[in-house]
Amino acid sequence: MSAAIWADVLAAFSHREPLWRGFVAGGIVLVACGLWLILPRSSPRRRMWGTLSVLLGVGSYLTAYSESGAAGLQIVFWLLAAWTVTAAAVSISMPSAVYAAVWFAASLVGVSGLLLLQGAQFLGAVTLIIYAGAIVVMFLFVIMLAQPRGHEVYDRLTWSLHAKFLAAGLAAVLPALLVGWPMTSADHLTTQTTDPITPAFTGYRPLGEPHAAGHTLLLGKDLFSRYLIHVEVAGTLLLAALVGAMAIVLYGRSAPLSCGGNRHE
Amino acid sequence: MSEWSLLQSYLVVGGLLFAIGLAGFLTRRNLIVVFLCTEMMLQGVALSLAAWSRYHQDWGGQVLVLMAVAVAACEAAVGLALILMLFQRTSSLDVLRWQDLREEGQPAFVDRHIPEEIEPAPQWPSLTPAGRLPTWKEEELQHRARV
Repeated sequence: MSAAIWADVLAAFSHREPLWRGFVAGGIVLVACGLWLILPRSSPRRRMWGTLSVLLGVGSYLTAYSESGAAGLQIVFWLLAAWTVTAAAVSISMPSAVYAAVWFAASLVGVSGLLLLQGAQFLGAVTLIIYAGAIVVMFLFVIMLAQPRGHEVYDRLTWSLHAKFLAAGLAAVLPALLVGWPMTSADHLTTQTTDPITPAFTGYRPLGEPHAAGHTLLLGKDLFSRYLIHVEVAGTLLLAALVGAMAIVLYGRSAPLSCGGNRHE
Repeated sequence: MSEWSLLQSYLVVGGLLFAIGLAGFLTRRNLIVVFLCTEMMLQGVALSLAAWSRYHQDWGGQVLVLMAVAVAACEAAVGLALILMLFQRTSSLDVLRWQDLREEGQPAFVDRHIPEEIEPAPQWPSLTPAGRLPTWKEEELQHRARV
C-alpha cells in the first residue's frame, strides 16, 4: 500500500470527532483482545472474557457506525438488562445467603450501568459506592455474625405452593403489563416522544462535550435549592437510624419479648 | 430508538427487578435473604424513577432515587440490627419461628417434608507422587497369575 492511501485514511480519521474515533479505537482494541482470548489454547475463563470483549467491541463499532448511535445503545442496553435480570433471578435462587448477597451485588453493577446509560451519572456512582459498597457489605457482615454453619433447613425450603405460584405469576405478569402500556394523550404533551434519542436535554451533557458545568453540578444545584428540605430530612433520618440501631444492639438483649420466639412445633 | 421506547424498556427492566424481588420476598424463609429481596425491589423502583426523570426532563426523579437510597441505608441498618437480636434470642434465622405474629386463628405452619442436603462429592487434594518407582521384572509382568 502506498503512503498516499495511508495518508488519506489517517486524514479522514483525524477529521472525525474524537468521540467517533474513541468508539472505533475502543472497538478495535476490544475485538482484538477478545479474539486473542478466544483462541483454543485458553482456559474456559479466558474464553468467557474473550467472548464478552468481542461483544463489547462489536457494540462499540455499531455505536460508531450507526446513524444516531442508537443501535449500539440498544445492544449495550440489552446486554446490561440481561445481566441485571439474570443476576437478580440467580440471587433469589441460591440457598446460601452469602451467594445470594454476592449475586445481588452483581445485579447492582448492572443497575449502575443502566443508570449510566440513562445519563444519570451521579446515580450510577452512588449505586455502586453506597449500595454495592456499603449496604451489601453490611449484609455480608451480618451474615457472618448470624449464620452458625452452612445450609440450614430453612434455606432449602420455601413457603407453600400457593406462595410460589403467586410469586411466579406476579413476576411474569408485572413486566408484561408494562410492555403493553399504550401511549395516552398525556404523553403527547412532552416533546420528542417518537423522535430518536438525543443524549442531551436540559440537564444532561452530551457525551462528547467538555465538562464545563457537569452533570453533578446541575443535579446538586437542584438538590440544594429546590429539594433542600428533603436533604435535611434525609440527614435527620440517617441520624435517627444510627441512634436506633445502636440502641437495639445495646439494649436489645435484655428487653423482654411480648410474643414467643421459640415455638417451632 | 425513540424516547418512548427507551422509557418502556427501562420500565420493563425495573418492573422485572421489582417482580423478582417480590417473588423472593414472598417465598424465601431466611430473614436476611428476605431483606435482600426488599433492597432488590427498591432498585427496580430506582430504575423506573431514573427513566421517568429523563423522559420528563426533570431532576425530581433522580432526587427521589437519592432519598430512596438514603432510606434504604437507614432501613438496612435498623433491620439488620433487629435481625441480629432476633437471631441471638432464637439462634435461628427462620421466619417460621415468629409465626405467632400473624393474625389469630391461623393454623400453625409445620414443615412436613424436609429435603436432604445434597453435598457435593468431596474433592480431596491431589498429592504429587514422591519416592522411587517399584522395580519389577518383565517376565512377571507378562505372566498372568489368574486365568
